[in-house]
Amino acid sequence: MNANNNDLDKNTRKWMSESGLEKPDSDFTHRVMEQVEAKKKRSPLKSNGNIWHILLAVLVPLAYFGYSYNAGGGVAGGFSLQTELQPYIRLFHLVVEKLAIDMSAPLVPLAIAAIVALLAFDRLILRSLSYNR
Amino acid sequence: MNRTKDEYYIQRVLQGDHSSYAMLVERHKDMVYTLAFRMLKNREEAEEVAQDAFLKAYSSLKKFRRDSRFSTWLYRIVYNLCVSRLRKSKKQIHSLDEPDRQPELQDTSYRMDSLEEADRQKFIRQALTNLAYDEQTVLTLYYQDDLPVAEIAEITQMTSSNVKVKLHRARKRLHAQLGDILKQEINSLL
Repeated sequence: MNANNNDLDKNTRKWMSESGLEKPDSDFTHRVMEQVEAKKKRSPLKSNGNIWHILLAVLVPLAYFGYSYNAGGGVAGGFSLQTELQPYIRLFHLVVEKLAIDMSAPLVPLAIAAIVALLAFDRLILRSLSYNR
Repeated sequence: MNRTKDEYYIQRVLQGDHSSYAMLVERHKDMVYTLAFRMLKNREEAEEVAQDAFLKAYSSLKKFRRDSRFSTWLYRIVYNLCVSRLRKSKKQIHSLDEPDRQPELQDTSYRMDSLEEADRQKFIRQALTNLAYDEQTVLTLYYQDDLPVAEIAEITQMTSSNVKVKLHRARKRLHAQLGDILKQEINSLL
């Protein structure tokens, strides 16, 4: 029984080595590498180092302005952020108030609905074009 | 040696030299394609899966823990992709029962030896096509890539003893298939 199994194993090894490996198309590697390149362009590698740089670039100025605002300015040579920002804050309040008044006009919701409908129509056309391609 | 070479190219890719990935593709494309082709039994689908496997491996290269060989990890990706394709297409994915009758091994072996090399290759490939995908996989990995049973178990997510049973059945079935094919050939000549 064992001798038979050994012969079976020996023959199978011989037959399998004779069967050889299947070969893909000659440009297989080229095609894979093209897709690798495309993938690289679509999603550039985000290393952990990059993420830290982005976080630092956002957090450091925020921390500086936060500190400066709470301290009432004086961090950079007499510069007072609270005083500097006052006109902008006032302007922001004015714009918001004006927007609230304008939004109460009956034509505004209609205009918004028209814009949304146009955008939806635009999407629909784009989708049908991509299906037809 | 192979493992060292793979690790060298993986390191280069991770350092930003993406062209080194072409070397990894070149080194493994035949085995990856053979595995996919033998499982799916279709050239176009096999090429597609082989490409997908290499792309998936490229995207996840950072996650490759290196506690196993790159080839083992890559074959596992191929195997999983093929299995999910087979499940979707509802093709036969399980082994058949053991063959009822077994031709005499010495007869088959003698008849095979008397054939031309090209014919032998043709008949073996034909016999392999008639095997279930898991049988072809274990035979290919064990005899053509010389992988140990433990690594085949890792790729196919079977237990080692299950792989051994599959190997034994696959050998017997290959032998039975070859016997049938040779018999048909002789009958067609008479």
